[in-house]
Amino acid sequence: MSVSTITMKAQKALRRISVPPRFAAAHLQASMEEVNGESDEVYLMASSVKFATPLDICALRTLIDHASEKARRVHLECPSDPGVHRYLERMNLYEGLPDNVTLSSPRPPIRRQPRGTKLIELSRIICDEDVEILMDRIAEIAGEQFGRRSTVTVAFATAVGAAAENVVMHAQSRTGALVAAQRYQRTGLELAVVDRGLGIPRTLAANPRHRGLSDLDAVERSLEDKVSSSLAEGRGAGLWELCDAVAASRNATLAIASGRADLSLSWTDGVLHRNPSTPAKPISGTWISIRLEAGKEKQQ
Amino acid sequence: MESAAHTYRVAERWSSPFLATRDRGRRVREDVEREIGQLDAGRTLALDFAGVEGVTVSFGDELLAKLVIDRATGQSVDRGLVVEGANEDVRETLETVLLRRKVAAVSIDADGHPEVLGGPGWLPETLSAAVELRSFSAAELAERLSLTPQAANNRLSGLVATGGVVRERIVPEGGGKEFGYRVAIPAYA
Repeated sequence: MSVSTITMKAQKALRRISVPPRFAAAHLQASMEEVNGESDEVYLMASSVKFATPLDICALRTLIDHASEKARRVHLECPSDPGVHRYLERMNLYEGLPDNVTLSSPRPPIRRQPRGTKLIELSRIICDEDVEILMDRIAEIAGEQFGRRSTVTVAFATAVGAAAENVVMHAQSRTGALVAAQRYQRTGLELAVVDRGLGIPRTLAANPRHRGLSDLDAVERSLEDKVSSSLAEGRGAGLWELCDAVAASRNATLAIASGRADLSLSWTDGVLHRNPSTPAKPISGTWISIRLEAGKEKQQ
Repeated sequence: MESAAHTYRVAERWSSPFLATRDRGRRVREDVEREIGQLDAGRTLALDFAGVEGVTVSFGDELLAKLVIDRATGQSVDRGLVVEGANEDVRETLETVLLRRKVAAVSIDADGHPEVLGGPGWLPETLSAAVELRSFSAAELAERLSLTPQAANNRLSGLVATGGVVRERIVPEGGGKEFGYRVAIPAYA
């Protein structure tokens, strides 16, 4: 057996994926490609993680789930910072991990106090009821920022529900969608919806009217009213509703990444700024993140 | 005496302040259709959204837009259908789904007044005329709105499709067959 064969075998048997201290979801999206090859063991090195947004938490769990399907064993090197480790436990990152995933540190004991108006723990959305419960939770958390009965709160809860129901109805994701949210005192409400389904460009291409588009054009088009993978009447409102509701809050950001598209739309006092980009590697599924800024609600 | 309206309380039946997905909308619609089917001719089903905080477009399309379309083409055209108790957000979503399908429904606002959701611009005026007449023929509506009989019949088809007015077969004194129209909105019936 040649030296190079032995090296390849060793590489195949063990793979280390490092998660940087302030990792971006994009980093983990790229990491998913790394574990696409067969591996006996995957080490996810997250010990230096210092901070995690809702999108980062969804991304990390997506990577864990993905690795657990590709490798025989997955080891997660938990954050060495006990505060971060506890926060990830509080956000349910370690809840219901696949059997072949082990943690470097025991799950920390925490006292769960009701945090309904501050955060939504990592949850999986699979059926109608999950979507409706999520909408109720979002109304609770957004209500603290905008007022429980305000139009922005209800429209936002409804719109995120519409985006989540898109996953249930169209994405063909075996594991549904992952959702998490956190309302920060200074910066506002952040929320993420991530699925490992077909992704927007592939889903939309099922409709001949939207075939042949670049991934970026497909994502942009998916935000228009009546644009759907289906030819049936009355379809195509989910992401349009979401975009409309986020824009209505006037100071907000909506980012959608899918396939070779990464589109960020941000509104400052109602003025839209677009920031489209093409990721180096295609992004599996659909990754949506939203930030509704705090402290500017009175302008509405 | 039996009330003219049968109320279907959406939030109570489905135990949720938010309603989503096409599948859920279809199940609610089938349940509503079953109840409309059990009503006597001339009675009205009031689809009550009180307690519902928000619905998605997919849910609203599958429930209300399809309900209106199915009712207009089905057997229950002699039974009324109105929306009530909808908050501003739900009302806006329901109007969106109706406009997308180019159909309309009648909603009772917080003050108890009927308003048209969706549909063409002449529908509110036609509903107002019908509400004043309460029970009428096509010729009477034509006279009230200064329309040709053909135009009045055309508007009546649209109005009956909303569920706010029901069409009934009547036998005139001289014999033969005619249709009469009656407002199906509970407070005005």
